[in-house]
Amino acid sequence: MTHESSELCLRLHALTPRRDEQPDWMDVLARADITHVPMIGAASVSPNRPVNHGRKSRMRRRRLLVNKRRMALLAALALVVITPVVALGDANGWWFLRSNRVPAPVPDANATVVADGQWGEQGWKLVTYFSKTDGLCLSMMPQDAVATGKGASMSCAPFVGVPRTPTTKDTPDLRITYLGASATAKLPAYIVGAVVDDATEVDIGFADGRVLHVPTSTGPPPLEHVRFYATPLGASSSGSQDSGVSLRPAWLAGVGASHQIVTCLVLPPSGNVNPSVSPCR
Amino acid sequence: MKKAQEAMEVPLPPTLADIEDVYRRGFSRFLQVAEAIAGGVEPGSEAVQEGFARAIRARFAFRAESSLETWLWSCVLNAARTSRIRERSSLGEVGSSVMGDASIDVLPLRDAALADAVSCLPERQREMLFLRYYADLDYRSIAGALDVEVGTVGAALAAAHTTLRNCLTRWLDDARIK
Repeated sequence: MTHESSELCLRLHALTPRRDEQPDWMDVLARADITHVPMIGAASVSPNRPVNHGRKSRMRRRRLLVNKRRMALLAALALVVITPVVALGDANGWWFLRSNRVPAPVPDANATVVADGQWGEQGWKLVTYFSKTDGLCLSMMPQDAVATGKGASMSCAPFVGVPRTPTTKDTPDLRITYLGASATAKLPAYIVGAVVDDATEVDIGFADGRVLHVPTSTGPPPLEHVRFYATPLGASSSGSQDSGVSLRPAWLAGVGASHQIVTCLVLPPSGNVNPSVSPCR
Repeated sequence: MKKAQEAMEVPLPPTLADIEDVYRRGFSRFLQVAEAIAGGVEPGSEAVQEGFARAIRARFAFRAESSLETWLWSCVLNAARTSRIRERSSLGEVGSSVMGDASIDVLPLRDAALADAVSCLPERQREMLFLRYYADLDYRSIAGALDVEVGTVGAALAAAHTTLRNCLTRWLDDARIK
C-alpha cells in the first residue's frame, strides 16, 4: 500500500471506526429460521442437506412454505390490531428520546421546542435536548412526526453556554451550527440551526453568490442564551434540490443588531464547488 | 460415467459451521463496511445479521463461482443497500454532519471534507473503497462481491483516489491560506 493509500486508509477509518460489538450468531440463526442447532463449542454444526432433493423433500418444503405464508398472514392480521395501540404509546414521547440511532440524552433529559411554524400545508417543530456525548442536539421534524421521527433530521455539537458532561466530546464549543436537509414528501429543503445570543440574524451564503438573510429568535428556558433560526430553501435558492450539494451553504455568519458580524462559519469546499467570497475572511 | 463426473463437479453447499466461521472471523470488518454503506450503526448491524441470515437460507444455491467469503460479502452488501434505502425513506437525515466554526482545528474539518467527498462518489466507487480499506479485500474478491470485472475495480478505485486526493489537497491548501 502506498503512503498515499495508507493516509487515505487512516482517514477513512477515522470516519467509521471499528466498534467493539460482539457477534451474535444465535440471532443470525433465528432470523434464518434455524431453530434446532446442536451447540458444539463456538461452532455449531448442521449436516448438509443432500444436493439432489427428492420429491418428498420438495413436498415438505412446499408444506413449510404454505405454513410460513399462513403464519405471515396471521402476523399481518395481528399487526392491524396492535398498530393503533403502539401509535398511542409513541404519542407520549419524542422519537429521539427512545431512539438508539442518535446521541443518548442526559439522564432525565427534557426536550425543548425552540421554534415551530408552518411551511405550505405542513407544520414543523425544531426541538433540542442535551446529549451525554455530543452537546446540544437539534432535531427538525414534521409536526405529525414528533413521536415517530419519520422525515426528521438531527445534528448535535457542543455549543457555547451548554453544560458539558464528563463524556462530552473534546471538541470546541461552537458559536453557530447548521442542519440542512433536502426536500421530502413532508417538508421542503431547509436550513436550521443555533447561534450565539448576540446574533439577531444569520446570513447564509451559497457557492453561487446568493445570500439568505434569516432572522433569529431567542430560545425558551433553559436556552435563553441561544438563538435559533430556520428557513425553507425554495427551488430558486437551492438550485437543484435533488443534488444535495447545492443545498450546502458555503458560509454562515451571525449578524448583530448593529449589522456587525458576531460569529462566522466557513465550510470546507466539497466536490467541485468553489467557496464563494465570505464575510468571514 | 459422464453422469458420475457431473455429479462429482456439483459443489457441496457450505455448512452452517463454514458460514459461522467466516461470520466470527470477519465480524468487525463486515460491521464496519455495512455501517459505512447503510449510513449508521444500527442499520449497519442489522445488515450484517440479515445478510448472514439470508446467506444461510440461500446456502444451497451457492455455486462456488467465487469463494464462500466473497459470496457472503455480496449477501451483506445487498442487505446493507436495502437497509440504507429503508432508512432513508423512514428517517430523513439522522446524524447528518455538523460543521465547526472557523476556529475549530484542522483535523475534524478535513475529515468532514473527506466525508463529503466520499459521500459524493458514485455508489459503486464508494462500495469498492469501503471493501478495499475497511475489509482489506483484494481486487479479485471485490470484483466477486460486486459482480464486476477485476479491471473495473482497478479503474474505479483509481478514479476514487483521484477525487479524494484532489478534495484533500484543496482543503489543505485552503487551510494553509487561512
